[in-house]
Amino acid sequence: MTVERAVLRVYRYNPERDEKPYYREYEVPVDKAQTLLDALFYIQENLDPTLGFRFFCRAAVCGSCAVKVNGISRLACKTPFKELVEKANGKPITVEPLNFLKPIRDLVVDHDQPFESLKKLQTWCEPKEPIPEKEYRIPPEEVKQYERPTNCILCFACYGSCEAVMDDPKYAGPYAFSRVYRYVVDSRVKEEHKREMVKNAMDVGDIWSCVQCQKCIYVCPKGVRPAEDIQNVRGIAAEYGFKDYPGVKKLQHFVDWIYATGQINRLSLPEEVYGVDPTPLINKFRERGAEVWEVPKPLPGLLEFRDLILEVMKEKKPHLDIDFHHVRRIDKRVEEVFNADVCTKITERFEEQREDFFTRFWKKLSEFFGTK
Amino acid sequence: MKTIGFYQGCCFQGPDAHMFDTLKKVFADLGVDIKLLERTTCCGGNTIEESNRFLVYSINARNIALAEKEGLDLLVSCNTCYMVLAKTKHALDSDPELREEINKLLAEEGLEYKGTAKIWHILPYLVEEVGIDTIRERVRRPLKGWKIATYYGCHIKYPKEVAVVDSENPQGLEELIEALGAEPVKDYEGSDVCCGYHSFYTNKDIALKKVVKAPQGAKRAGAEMLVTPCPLCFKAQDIYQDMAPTEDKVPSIYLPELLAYALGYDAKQSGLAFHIIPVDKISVNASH
Amino acid sequence: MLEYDILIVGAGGAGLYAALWASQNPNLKVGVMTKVYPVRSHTGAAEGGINAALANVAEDSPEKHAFDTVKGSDYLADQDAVEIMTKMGPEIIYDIEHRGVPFSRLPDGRIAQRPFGGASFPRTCYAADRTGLVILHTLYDQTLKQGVEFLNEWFLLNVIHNGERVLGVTAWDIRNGGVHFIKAKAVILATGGHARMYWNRTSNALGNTGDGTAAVLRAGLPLKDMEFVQFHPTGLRKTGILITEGARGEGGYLINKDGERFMKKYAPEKMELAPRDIVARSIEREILEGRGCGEKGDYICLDLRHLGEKKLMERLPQTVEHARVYEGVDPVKEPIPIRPTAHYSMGGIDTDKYGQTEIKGLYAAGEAACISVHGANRLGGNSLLDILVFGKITAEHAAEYVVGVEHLPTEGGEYVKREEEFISSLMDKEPKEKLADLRREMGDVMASKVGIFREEKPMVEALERIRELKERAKSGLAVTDRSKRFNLNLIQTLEFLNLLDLAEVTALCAIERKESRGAHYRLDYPNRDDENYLKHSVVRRKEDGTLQHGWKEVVITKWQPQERKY
Ligand SMILES: Cc1cc2nc3c(=O)[nH]c(=O)nc-3n(C[C@H](O)[C@H](O)[C@H](O)COP(=O)(O)OP(=O)(O)OC[C@H]3O[C@@H](n4cnc5c(N)ncnc54)[C@H](O)[C@@H]3O)c2cc1C
Ligand code: SF4
Ligand code: SF4
Ligand code: FES
Repeated sequence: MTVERAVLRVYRYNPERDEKPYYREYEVPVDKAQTLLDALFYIQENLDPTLGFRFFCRAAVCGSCAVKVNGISRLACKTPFKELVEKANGKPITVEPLNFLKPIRDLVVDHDQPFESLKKLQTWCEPKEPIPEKEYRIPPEEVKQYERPTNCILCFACYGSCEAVMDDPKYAGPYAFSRVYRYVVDSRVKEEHKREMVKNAMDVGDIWSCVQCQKCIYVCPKGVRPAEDIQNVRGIAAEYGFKDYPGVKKLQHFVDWIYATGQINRLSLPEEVYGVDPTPLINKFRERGAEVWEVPKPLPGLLEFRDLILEVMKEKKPHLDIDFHHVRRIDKRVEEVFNADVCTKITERFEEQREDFFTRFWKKLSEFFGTK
Repeated sequence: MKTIGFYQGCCFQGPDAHMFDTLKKVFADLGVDIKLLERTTCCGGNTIEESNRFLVYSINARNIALAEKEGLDLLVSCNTCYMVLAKTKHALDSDPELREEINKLLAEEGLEYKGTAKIWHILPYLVEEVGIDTIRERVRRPLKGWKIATYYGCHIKYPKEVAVVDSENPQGLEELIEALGAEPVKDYEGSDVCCGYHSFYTNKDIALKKVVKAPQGAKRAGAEMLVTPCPLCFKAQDIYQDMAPTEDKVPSIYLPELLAYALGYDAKQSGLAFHIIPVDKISVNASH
Repeated sequence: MLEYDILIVGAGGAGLYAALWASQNPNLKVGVMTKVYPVRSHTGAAEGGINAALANVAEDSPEKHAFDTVKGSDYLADQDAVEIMTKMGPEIIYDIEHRGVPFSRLPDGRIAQRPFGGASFPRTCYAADRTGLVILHTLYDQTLKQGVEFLNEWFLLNVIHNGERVLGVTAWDIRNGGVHFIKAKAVILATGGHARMYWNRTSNALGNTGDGTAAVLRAGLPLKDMEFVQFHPTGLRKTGILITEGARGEGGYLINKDGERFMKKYAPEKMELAPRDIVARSIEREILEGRGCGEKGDYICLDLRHLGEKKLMERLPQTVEHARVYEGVDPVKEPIPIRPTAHYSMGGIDTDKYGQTEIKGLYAAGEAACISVHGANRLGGNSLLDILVFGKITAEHAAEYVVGVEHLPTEGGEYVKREEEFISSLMDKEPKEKLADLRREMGDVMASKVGIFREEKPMVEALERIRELKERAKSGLAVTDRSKRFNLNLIQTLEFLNLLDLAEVTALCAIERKESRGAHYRLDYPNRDDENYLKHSVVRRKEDGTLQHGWKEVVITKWQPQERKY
């Protein structure tokens, strides 16, 4: 069945004359619009010249036209109208301004604030000295790292969908951290400035508020993956030695426990991250009759798994190293709790591996410096 | 009886070991033999990525390869594990170089990532493979009069390349709930809001704000409880919701527990008895 | 009242780069006014690349680059300006590279360069297929670093001068409504091109309406070479959105309704890869002679099916997406409907090689300006270079100039009042005409009569039609939305009026130039005529509103005109 006309239910609000926002429905012939933006033009040209919305390139590169369509942030000019109509299945299509930004008029919201965030985070290049006479030499692999983030058109679709923005007004926004990442992995940028950006990302932009919901990746019309760039920046923060942030402690927990046991240990997280004793919680479960394991059961194949981790870390340096002292304490506890032979072996084996690891490391270093 | 490899991740430890037993029982009753892949490890919890994405690909290629070695598909319950495994699969399947690099590492353990195993999340597995009719037939204790809000969680909806449900209009849970004789509550305010689980140890305040949104919305829409297929969403809604400064707590149920209860297991056997926020609908002492 | 030493109007590549250089001197108060947020500017749409003789891939020199440019311009470019541009090319590229532009790289880490139409060497630096985007965004980030002051979403109305010096501009604050006079010792217009006069048949953004150029015309100052508009061969049928040359580069066929690869008739050797103007004319000819595809026969097919899905997705993902979204056609299964699309305005505000106009302190740079470095035909990749080079030169010139001068004593009340009266007159009119209809008519007239093929009679008709449209607009085109806040209806009306003014000039110049040169192709004068027309055309509007057309010498330094053959 082909639908000939579709109903758009559009958010209207002109603070100059309306006391509060309202919705108006418009009928748009489906064949008059290739994209949702065309449909808005149809309304403006034929039904109501007062409808306010933004547009410029009409080809998905300028970032002007992001709106919320049936609850999802989208670029109007990149949303095929027919598909939208088919999906709506006879129901009106609701078009609203992006979430979390100050209203200006109808679908137009304030973009000053998200642009300001970039300024606050200082996402720009401070060139590293000495500045070469010609270009900096940059291997193509490095360019690959910032290929995706530099696709960003600052349309703020991700901002309008972001779970962290919803509950943290200080949160700079997904796009902002993609930009931080983009400059932090650029070898042309001064080290001090990179640190500055990472610090800003945490203290000014609240990067640790991200809940990793992945909505930003889902809505991004340009294939940027802010949620993953956020992970990257967090890791770099850990590498820079910002140890006091809960998130870095959490990461250390994951790194160490997974190496040690193949698992994390949820019952020791409160203590390791926030210094909170988990006993009351454990007791609650016990009161209700649940069996509680204080540490994860050691898994078969753990030794091979540890080997794998060490091998990988030789090839690709992690942002945060395993804290082997911690691992040793973990091993001890696992031994105590399960009184399992395998754990003794694990400990021995770990000492061996560690030896091995450091010997190899020194060997590499001396190779590098050309001395014995 | 069908057999499928089961990936447990780090979900069934601490106070939650019983959740795996519940899941295994339920699937057995529904004609699926769940074979625990014991050597599989934590997926990294979408956190190890921060330190080393390549490591995440490696350990999860290993996890998948362990299933492939047994000639089994992989069943996953946790949304986040599912996403991390699926992202790994996506990366390895679309990048032969990466795959080769990782297979070299796996070879030491005699493993190889081939890309043959399908990765299933329990929700579509129940709906598509087990079938709603089978489930309906096995119900021993219809949940008549229960009003249950459906909560899908994020990582089976986003990002697009791993989504197992329609990201903008997820389905499956409602049908399941109806099959159990209960009444689903859908599209309530907050149904799409993140449970906050992953921010609890990065910014606790955010987690505590987030975790109440779906429960409160569900309640306003007339639901008495929520059900989720994800053990992490469940943990957030059970433990963190309890810590949040809201008056009325809304119980949340991990999907296999709900199935277990409807299939006739008692409150303890199903795990419903162990919740921090009690499920008032059941009486803990009642056995069948 | 807002007051600046230097006010830059426009925040595309030209405007932003000018801002960076103008604000080098911390004692100067520099402002940038733009009708859309800077990163929305059309510079962001440039895909292909930016030319400079870095010689990273093959031996090259600014000299050779200059020669290619002059030859490409069909000898209408001013050679002194071209030499400045190509000489500065490398230093400009290195500068923006140091500022962070993520250029694609060679294996040894130097900037990669690729061949582009009309160039004798691989000279085009690029960042995948989004060169303009990353340049625009990198420059924007730099302006944030430098603390440049922006007036975002402000619309330039008019340039104010006293016949000798510039006083400032009048502008409309789009967000809040209201006319302002902005005082400035120097004004740099970097307001971009005006190919929107072809309305739906252009690759340009909806807002590329030549506002600065039209303001200069209204200010009684000359525009130059306005007849020269470059058409790109492959725009999407419905929208004019660009399908990159890469689609043909990868092996795409151009097919007429008989399924014939018609380029074999026009360029048997190079086929689909012949120079832009030749391919554009060939396509247009097929359509005009009734061999176009579809019911109306108004387009040609770009067939990519034989490349296969894999290659298409790998090499031309943007093209695939554009076709799917904007034509509803899947290039894996169907050919893409295309026709030539107006792409670039070679003509514009008449300036010297420092970007200066006749009025002291008034400058123009970028696509809005005609310096002229592109002459009758711009080479791909030269525009991005042009906007940066002359963005910098004008900024430095202006920065030097303003140090020695004082603001003129004016509060600008009279100018504000005049604008307010004009805007009220638009609102108080009885609405008899629809903006959308008039705009479409303008586009159709321009595309069909002052487009790729030109001839005396249709052009004279076009001029009449444009003048009629102006009359109709004057008497019956009203702004019906009376709000102050984000009044699109007002902005779009003002933009349309600007386009009409410029369309009139374009038609007039095209009639006056009785030869074929570069992008200006006349069926009734198919040859280049250096004896009579190796000259820039210059138009200014007199007090009584009539246009005065004249000529201006071309600067020739090293290269005497030769036949342009490829
Ligand atoms: C699809 C496409 C692809 C292209 N590809 C290439 C390429 O590969 N290589 C190349 O060299 N060139 C290319 N070009 C040409 C090149 O992109 C443009 O010529 C160039 O970007 C123009 O830059 P600009 O700074 O002069 O103007 P623009 O980038 O157009 O900026 C104009 C600015 O002026 C402002 N403005 C306009 N009117 C007003 C007003 N009334 N009030 C206030 N502000 C105003 C706008 O807000 C904007 O900020 C391409 C062009 C198109 C259309
Ligand atoms: S990351 Fe994507 S969604 Fe977010 S602003 Fe950039 S382009 Fe838009
Ligand atoms: S993943 Fe993080 S940044 Fe992305 S939308 Fe969710 S909370 Fe926001
Ligand atoms: S109009 Fe430019 S992105 Fe939609």
